Amino acid sequence: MFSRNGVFRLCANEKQTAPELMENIFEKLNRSEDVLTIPLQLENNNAFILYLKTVVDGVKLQNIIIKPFFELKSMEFFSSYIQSLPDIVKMKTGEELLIQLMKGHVLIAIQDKFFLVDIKMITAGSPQQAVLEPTIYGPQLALSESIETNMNMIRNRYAEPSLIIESVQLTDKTHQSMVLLYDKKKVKQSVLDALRLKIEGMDNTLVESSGDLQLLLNSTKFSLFPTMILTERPDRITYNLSNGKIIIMMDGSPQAIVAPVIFFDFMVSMEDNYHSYWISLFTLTLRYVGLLTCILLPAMYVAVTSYTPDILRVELALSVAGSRLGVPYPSFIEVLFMLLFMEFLIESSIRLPKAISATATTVGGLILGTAATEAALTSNIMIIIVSAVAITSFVIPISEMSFAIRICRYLLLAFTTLFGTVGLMLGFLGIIMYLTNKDSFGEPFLKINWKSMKREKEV
Amino acid sequence: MYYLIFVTMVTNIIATVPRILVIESKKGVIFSMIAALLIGVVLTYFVIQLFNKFSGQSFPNILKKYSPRWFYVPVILYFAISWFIAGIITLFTYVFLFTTFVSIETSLVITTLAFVIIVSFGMLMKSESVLHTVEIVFLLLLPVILFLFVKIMTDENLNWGFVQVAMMNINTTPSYMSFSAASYLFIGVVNIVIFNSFFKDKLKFGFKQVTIIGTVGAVVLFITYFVPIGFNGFEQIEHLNFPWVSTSDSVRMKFGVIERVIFIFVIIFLGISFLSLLIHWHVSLKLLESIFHFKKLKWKKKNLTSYFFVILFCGISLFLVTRIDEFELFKYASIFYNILPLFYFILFLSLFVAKRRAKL
Repeated sequence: MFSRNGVFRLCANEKQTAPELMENIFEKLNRSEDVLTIPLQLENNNAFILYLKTVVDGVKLQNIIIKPFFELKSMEFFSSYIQSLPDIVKMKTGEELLIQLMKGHVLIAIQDKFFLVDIKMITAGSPQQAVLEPTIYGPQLALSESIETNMNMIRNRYAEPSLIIESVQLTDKTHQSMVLLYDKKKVKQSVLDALRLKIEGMDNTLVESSGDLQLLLNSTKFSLFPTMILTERPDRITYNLSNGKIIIMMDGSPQAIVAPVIFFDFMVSMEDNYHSYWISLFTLTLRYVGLLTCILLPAMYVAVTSYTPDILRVELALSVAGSRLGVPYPSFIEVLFMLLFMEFLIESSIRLPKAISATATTVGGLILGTAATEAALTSNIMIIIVSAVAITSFVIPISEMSFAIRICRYLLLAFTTLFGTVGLMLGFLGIIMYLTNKDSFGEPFLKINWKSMKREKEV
Repeated sequence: MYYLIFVTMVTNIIATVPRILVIESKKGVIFSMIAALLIGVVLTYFVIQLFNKFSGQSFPNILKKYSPRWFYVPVILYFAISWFIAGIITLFTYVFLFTTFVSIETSLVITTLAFVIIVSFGMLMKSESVLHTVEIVFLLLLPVILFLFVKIMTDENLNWGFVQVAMMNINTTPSYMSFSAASYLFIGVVNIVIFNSFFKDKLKFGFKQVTIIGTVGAVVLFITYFVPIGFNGFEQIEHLNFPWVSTSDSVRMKFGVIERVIFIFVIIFLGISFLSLLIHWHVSLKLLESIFHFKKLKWKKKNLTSYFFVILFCGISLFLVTRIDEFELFKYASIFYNILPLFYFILFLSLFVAKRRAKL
């Protein structure tokens, strides 16, 4: 039917020998051991199936294809049976056919007809427990690593006829399938077009998960703040879908990408929707206060101790100065030193196995903290500030954002060290300007949205 | 749109305006303030009405379309330079104020440099982002400003007797200087020359909006002038260089972490004057970009014209800050305010010309 030189030919049904197409494919797959061509024969009826053993579900294959072949009377019956299978897909040609086979499709040849049936073996199909964004109430299961299960979850949760699923084939080596999901009624066309253009323009050799896909879709090379949210929660996905955003899911990765996003989206936890108004308002305020503390506190310490101690009331200024008594270097070195130790602590406790990480935190947090003050390397107040900063940096629900904020802190610290109190204020304004100047697929990243106070309503 | 007007209004509290007003306090300030208020609102109304006719177009675009080159190049250049000077006055006033009251040790150049670095980034942003920044920062600062005003107004040291004394001077004839300084409060609307391209729909500017701007303007003017007098006395206030900051220093917060209100005041007004500077210089830069485009200034396919202007701006301000002192600044600022009516005149003239040519 389709040979190597590209000529279309019908191939005759010869007994015992596989059709030419199958031979060709077999050649193209380099006679890999897991490529199987099995002839099925019963009296005068015969058929061939070709598949990759490693990716096809054997039991399912046995049940829905091989068994009926021996039960049905004639080839006509069998071929119409195959055509009515729910998993049948459109016949592909050339490269595409190869890719489909690699992904777990089975090629069936009945007389001179070819069919392609999807009998994928799903290994990671079960939804996982939500780990990254846990909530007390709300659904506890997160996305799985298989795209079929994920789409099933989303469809079940968001049963709107206007939900569109658009599949895109990546052109890299993994040939992962990627899916765009959006609500046709709500989505903004300009954003959708921008996103499609971006995906088409991508030329990377290896895309492994939605994490690096997100980076590739990002427009600037050196960017600090994420312009897309990675989420594992199906309820966040449906919530965003209903607000007109686009979801990108990739096979083999348990996180979906939400685009476009604005700054405020990063501060929303799904928990907010499951609590009463005042409680969620309180937690939201708490998060913003935490964000400000996390960015401003270290720089403020430098400004207050080294530049303008007279800003504080006298008692407080004296106790800060008294606490710094005997610290042998300027305050910015002290801050930098403690912050770096804290970052080491965070980094190591992420990488270590759970059993040991508790020890690391104890040693780092308790012992180092006390010892450092007793050795007069830092002031007591600095220890309080560092712990406050460490705690508040985890208040931000999306960890991507929390990393960006952590880096921002150092920039602000540097600016304050150079220019003092003016630097603190101006640096903060500079961060705000940087954020407002950013955009996510043409949507301004940070702006106040008057029309609805619900944060994720925008776009 | 309101933000642009309000930011300029509030910035003036720390700028030279209150000083000019109190110096002129015996020469009919009150009358000229009322006059400035009325005229300011009327001018604001007309500017917005005129720009409504060209909604979605910026001033340079309008002029380029409807007027000859010999006309629009000088006009835009004049506007750009005025706006640059307006920005530099705000910058210098703040820098002087900051070194005087908060950190005496820091040199003027360092403080200016801190401003200039951040503002240069701000100038190069998209105009839309400038608007968003102004909105966010202003909204963040607004509660604190209101708190400060309430705190200062309700302070027991505020002697309303002095205010009454000042009020008594209502029947003297107004002076031109105080009038022009007071009307500077309403100059914010002129920023529409660039930002008009973002107002695609016609701006509603009816009775309600006039009342809002009028009331806010009146309140701000009232606070600007009378509160320092109430604290410092009608006779002595002329000797203060920064009447408002000294005023805020008279107020204490008993239970605050920061006891002296002056520091909150100075820090908040840092934000406000930064916004004012950002708006002014951004508009100025856009105006300059619209008439100059150096084709030779290229590096890696990027035209560097705007970078050139930014560096020019920064260079001028860093150079001037060492050469000028507070009294000279005051002198030049008052000259600048005095020629403002000319500015309005040219703006109206050019818009009328454009309107006639466009036959709208």
